[in-house]
Amino acid sequence: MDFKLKIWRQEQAAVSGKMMAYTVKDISPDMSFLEMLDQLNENLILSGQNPISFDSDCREGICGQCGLFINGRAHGPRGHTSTCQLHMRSFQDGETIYIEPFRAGPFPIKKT
Amino acid sequence: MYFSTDSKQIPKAKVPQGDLRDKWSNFKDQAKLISPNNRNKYHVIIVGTGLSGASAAASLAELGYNVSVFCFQDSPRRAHSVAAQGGVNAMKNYKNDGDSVHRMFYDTLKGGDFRAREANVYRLAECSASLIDQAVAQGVPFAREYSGYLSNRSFGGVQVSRTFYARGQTGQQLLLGAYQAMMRQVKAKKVTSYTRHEMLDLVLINGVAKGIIARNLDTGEITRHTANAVVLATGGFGKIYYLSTLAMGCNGSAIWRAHKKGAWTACPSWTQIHPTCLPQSGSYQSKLTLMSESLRNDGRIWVPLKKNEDRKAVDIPEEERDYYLERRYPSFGNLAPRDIASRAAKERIDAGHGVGSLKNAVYLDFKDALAKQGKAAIAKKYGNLFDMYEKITGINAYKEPMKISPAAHFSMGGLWVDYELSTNIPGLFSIGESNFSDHGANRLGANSLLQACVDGYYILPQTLPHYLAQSGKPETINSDDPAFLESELQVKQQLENFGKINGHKTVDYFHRELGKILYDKCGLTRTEKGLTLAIEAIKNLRDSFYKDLKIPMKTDGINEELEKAGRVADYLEIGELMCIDALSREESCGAHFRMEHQTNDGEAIRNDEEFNFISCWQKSDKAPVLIKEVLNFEFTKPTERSYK
Repeated sequence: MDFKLKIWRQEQAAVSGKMMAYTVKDISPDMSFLEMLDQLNENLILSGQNPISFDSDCREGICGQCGLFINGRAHGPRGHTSTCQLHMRSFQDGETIYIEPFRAGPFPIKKT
Repeated sequence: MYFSTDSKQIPKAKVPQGDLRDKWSNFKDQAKLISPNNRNKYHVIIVGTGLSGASAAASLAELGYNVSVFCFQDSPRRAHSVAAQGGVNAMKNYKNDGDSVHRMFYDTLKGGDFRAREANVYRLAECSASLIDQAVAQGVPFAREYSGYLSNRSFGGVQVSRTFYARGQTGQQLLLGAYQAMMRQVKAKKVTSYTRHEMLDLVLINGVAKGIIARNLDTGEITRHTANAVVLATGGFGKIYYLSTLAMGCNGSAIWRAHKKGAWTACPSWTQIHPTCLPQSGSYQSKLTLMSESLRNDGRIWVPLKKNEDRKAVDIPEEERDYYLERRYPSFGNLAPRDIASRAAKERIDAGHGVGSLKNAVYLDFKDALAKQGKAAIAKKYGNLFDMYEKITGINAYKEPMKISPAAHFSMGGLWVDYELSTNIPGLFSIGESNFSDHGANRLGANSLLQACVDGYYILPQTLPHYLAQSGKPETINSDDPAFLESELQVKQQLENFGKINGHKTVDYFHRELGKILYDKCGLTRTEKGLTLAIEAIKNLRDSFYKDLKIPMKTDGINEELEKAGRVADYLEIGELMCIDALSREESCGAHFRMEHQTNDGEAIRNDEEFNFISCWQKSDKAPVLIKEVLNFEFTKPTERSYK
């Protein structure tokens, strides 16, 4: 699967951010959403760009550390699913996906 | 030679005198105390806020000591204890099925293949009963029977039901209890919590642990922290295999940096490969999710009799299924211990009977249990696990069997500790999974939550004050001491050097390569030849890491790649020691299975005459030095570990 990503990039809390466009290719439907971002980050690092910062730890839906605002909804399109448990099979091939940080007091933006 | 042996050094295990049943009481009766009005003069650092760290922090603060806790997560309650599913063992004998302290002690010792200290294991069983009462008092919602009594289920390697559980989220519930107890002390200003901080070095003054160097992961600031004692509660390092059941941030850096300052590492190659995890589905994968062992209470494990079977599981008739655990181990069946169940799965998969798209899995089938007990009963026991399985795989396990596969899970090995949970460095303690103590060469299911809690709630709060009382008047430690300055400088230089390499490969590349080497050569089965090849391969990979690593340069502010680089640099050293440890032990015991040492039907051959010891590894500028702690079995007789 291929996707167009629009990702909110912000270097620190004190500076302003903006949406940036990226593309990812050859994504398996069994990949988790965060693994898709891992793959994008590998490419960004190798080409000397700043990787996207996002929190995650257990990656099995219990620790509560991950959390992205995906297509205007916390943790994406499925209910009762943390971002790490969301898989790419929940999206359409070729779709544009909007990814932003939570805009909530308990989850302040540090870097994206 | 890859290592040398020092037979002159004899580790002091400090096991108290007396009968097995009296040892822990004897220790407590004779331990030196610090009076309540003096406890405020001592400061203790605890690194890690999982069950062992949080319970120790809460307990020491309650006693009156000042505590600082450190965790890399944004909240202490995210520590990976949160992910433990199935349960916690205790010998309450609520099921009236003949359980006792002695039976639990013996099950655990035998489960570990007689490669642990008798007195430690006995104490674990002895303290288990109080833990359940304490957790209930904290409000941990253990499952209950209709009558209101606490419910139990059975785990691998035992023939009684002694596992207490809160659905498939026992670790989370226990951690919330410990976390709340700790946060109460944070509010009372007895505990200072440093979140998003990672320990990067241990500081010794005159050979005694006096503090740590930490990095603030948000700002990049390097800070010095002093203490009268340092406790490492940093969990296991199974993430060294890259693909594992552990959280992304779990690492071995704190214990490895302590090792580099002189702390012995014991049996680092003893890794539990858990039999019931979700199989790998692609090279992009970052994590293998565990499915609780409790599923084996009702699920039956099988593979098709026919090699390279391409029919769907539901289309394969009963007589063409091989329930290999029931066949090989009739008395324990699907509840054979983890090492045995994992190896049996690997044996079938390697023989061509694996299932799934990569042929790397076996079936875990609930068909019979669903027919007998009904869907509602199964959903009540395992509902969240079935939901989790469906979320990840898209498959409904009420309708077709789960596909499972072994994955790296728990480190039995870790920092060597004596009976008082002290490492060989005075003032440095290690608790929970980060130490090597109670589980021997294989941990029984639901003993990990138990050990973490017992170490933190009951043992350390007795033994650490005993150390402080013996070490004289409380002293003020100066963070400008040359030892702190030197340590801080080294940490800063290492971080800057990672950025300067500016090569062509990411940290994850090196981590994945290391994981493959270790899983292949130092995983479920090991051979002399394989381990020798692995040692060379790891050395080459390490050279390449320092030549070809590419990470974003900056050391201030958030830089996850920099954090990972430090951890993988350590893994590249730990991995080599794991292989040397496995190479040096020419026997099969527990999770350590040397292909050269097995019976004709594939069972382990342990060698008590030559290897009845714990391998303690000391850092050296040349090859690592092996020091042996010989195990004395005064109260039991090591037998062949049979589950047939």
